[in-house]
Amino acid sequence: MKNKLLQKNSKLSELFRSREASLLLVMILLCALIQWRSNGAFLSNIVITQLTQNYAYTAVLAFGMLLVLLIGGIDISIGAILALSGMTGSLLMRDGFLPNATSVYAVSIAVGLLCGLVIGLIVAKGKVIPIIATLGMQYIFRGLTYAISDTKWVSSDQMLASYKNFAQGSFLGINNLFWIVIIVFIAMIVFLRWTSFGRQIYAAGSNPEAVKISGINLDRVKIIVYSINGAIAGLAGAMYTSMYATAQGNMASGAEMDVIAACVIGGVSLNGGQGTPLGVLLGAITIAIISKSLSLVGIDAFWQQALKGGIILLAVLVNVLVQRRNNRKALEGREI
Amino acid sequence: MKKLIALLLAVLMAFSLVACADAPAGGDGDVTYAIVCKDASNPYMSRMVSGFKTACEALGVKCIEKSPETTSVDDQITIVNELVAQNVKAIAIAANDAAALEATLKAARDKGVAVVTLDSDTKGSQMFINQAGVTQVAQVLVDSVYDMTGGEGEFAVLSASSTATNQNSWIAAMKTIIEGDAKYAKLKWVETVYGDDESQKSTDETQNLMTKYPNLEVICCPTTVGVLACAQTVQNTEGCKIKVAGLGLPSEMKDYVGDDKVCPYMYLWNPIDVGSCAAYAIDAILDGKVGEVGTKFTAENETEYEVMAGDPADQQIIVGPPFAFNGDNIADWATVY
Repeated sequence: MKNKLLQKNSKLSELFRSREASLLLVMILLCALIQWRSNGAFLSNIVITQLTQNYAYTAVLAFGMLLVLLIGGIDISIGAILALSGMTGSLLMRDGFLPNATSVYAVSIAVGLLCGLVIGLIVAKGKVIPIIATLGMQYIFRGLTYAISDTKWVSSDQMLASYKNFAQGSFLGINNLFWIVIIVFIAMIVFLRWTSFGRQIYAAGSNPEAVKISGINLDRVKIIVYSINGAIAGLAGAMYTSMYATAQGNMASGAEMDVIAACVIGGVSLNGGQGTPLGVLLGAITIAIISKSLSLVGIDAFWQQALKGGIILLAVLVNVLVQRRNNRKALEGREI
Repeated sequence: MKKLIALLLAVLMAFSLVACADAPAGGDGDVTYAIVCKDASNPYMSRMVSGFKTACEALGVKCIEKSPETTSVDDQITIVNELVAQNVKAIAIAANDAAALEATLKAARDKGVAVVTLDSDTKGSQMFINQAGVTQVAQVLVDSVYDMTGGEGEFAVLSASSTATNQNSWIAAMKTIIEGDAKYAKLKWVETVYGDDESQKSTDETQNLMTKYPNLEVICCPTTVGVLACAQTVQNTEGCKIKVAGLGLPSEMKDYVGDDKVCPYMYLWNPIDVGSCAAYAIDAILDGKVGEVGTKFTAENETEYEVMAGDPADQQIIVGPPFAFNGDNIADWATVY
């Protein structure tokens, strides 16, 4: 009898023991607080639609960053890759080389892939530590963006209507850009959980020495991961330019910080080997909620940034504490 | 292999740095004027530079442009020091900070370099080329709001960052104008928000204004990036009747300006004129044509400028009143800048 009860209990508690569940709790608390402070304006259909559309590219970037963080790397050049690929696509569209929205997206993804490949080669073959490699490449990509655009912007009237409409349109009541998030999310789950390469990524991050001994080509893993991340940043570049109907040289500078924060909130370890797509999705939504709501609840502009940092730290802290408590409980359970 | 790639990377980095800078100043005997922008990527700034360059050609002097990658005042200090070491005759700078450049600019002036500020003023400059008087700008903005609301109703301001000096002085002047005239008594200024000249944040702020103030009639954006994001957001929100007023670049705003569009009209000054005025003012200063406050001089382009008292620069020149762009002229101006 006692055993049965314990078994049932443990299944239920297993659900709540996961990092994602504790993050969900943090998110619900946050939403309740904002809902109360904004006099009920926050949790509406319109606001949620706005939020999913405006932060779709941040979420997509976070999935790419997840892969990089999983192998113990980091990429702070994604904002610059976004700008370079988004600008290339927009410039070619402006000059009439691209006939439709799909081709603009394809060009952006291809440019992003190329950027990621270069970073992968520098990190894997050049043995440059990722933060330095991407710091350097960030300036090169950003500089190239200014150079190819001649520091001019591509404006709304120079873009294809279909390209702009795609970002504003929706399917089954969900904005097209958020559909991209959902597709990338599902692809990430499948890729990381059910492909052998996905498992290699986790292994490469948690125990690189063992991976080498077991015959996995670590360099190959790194190059592919940075390339995928670059392609995702390229995709985000197309999402950005179609969403805001403008391509500016300095667009998305600093975006990498929100993205890394989203990953960390989502429980991704900066030491590699730990993190899930679900956690990252929740982390990105949390970042979006924080950024969107600060002005909605009437926080003074001067305090918004400081408060944003505070809430990010708090979210991570609560998440870690809940997780630690759960781990302890799990251990206690084992002792019985 | 490792060394080779490291070397390659270093060369690439060095190249990207060099690529940012223009050709260095010429040898002995050449007179060179330098222009330093807020950041290298701003199209508004590049039009200002083109005006400066054209005027320099007309004056028969060499011209170099050096601008920081981002709107960093530290980088501007380094650049000014480099320019002084290169023996330029004059520096025109769009300051990224209202105070931090003072010592650097004073040191440059002590070495005989003429220093003027344009677009954004700072302490230590001897002449500020003012694109438009603060009150003039604030007046046209308030009048746009008055006109677009029909004389009464709610409006909000979407600005750049909360520390942007230009925007803050215009907003302060708008407040003074509205409070000082009973004509504007029925205008209700609900909030001032800051989009940090960033598309994502500006979009958020615009949408939040719509959510918070259902009766909002006008959003006034005294920033070229903000007005673009705001107009785009309003246009894409179904059933939204908000009008957008503000300062915008015609080429970027072409899709949104017109009688039946979200932004009936907007204002801006001509950055090309600002740039050329800076070059002519430098020429006048070096020729000793600029005297006390109140003196007037005629520049090479036949325009007469009046020297006025400056703050914080010693003196200032106002280039001209802001120019209105509407459905009739936007297409023409979009080809210019």
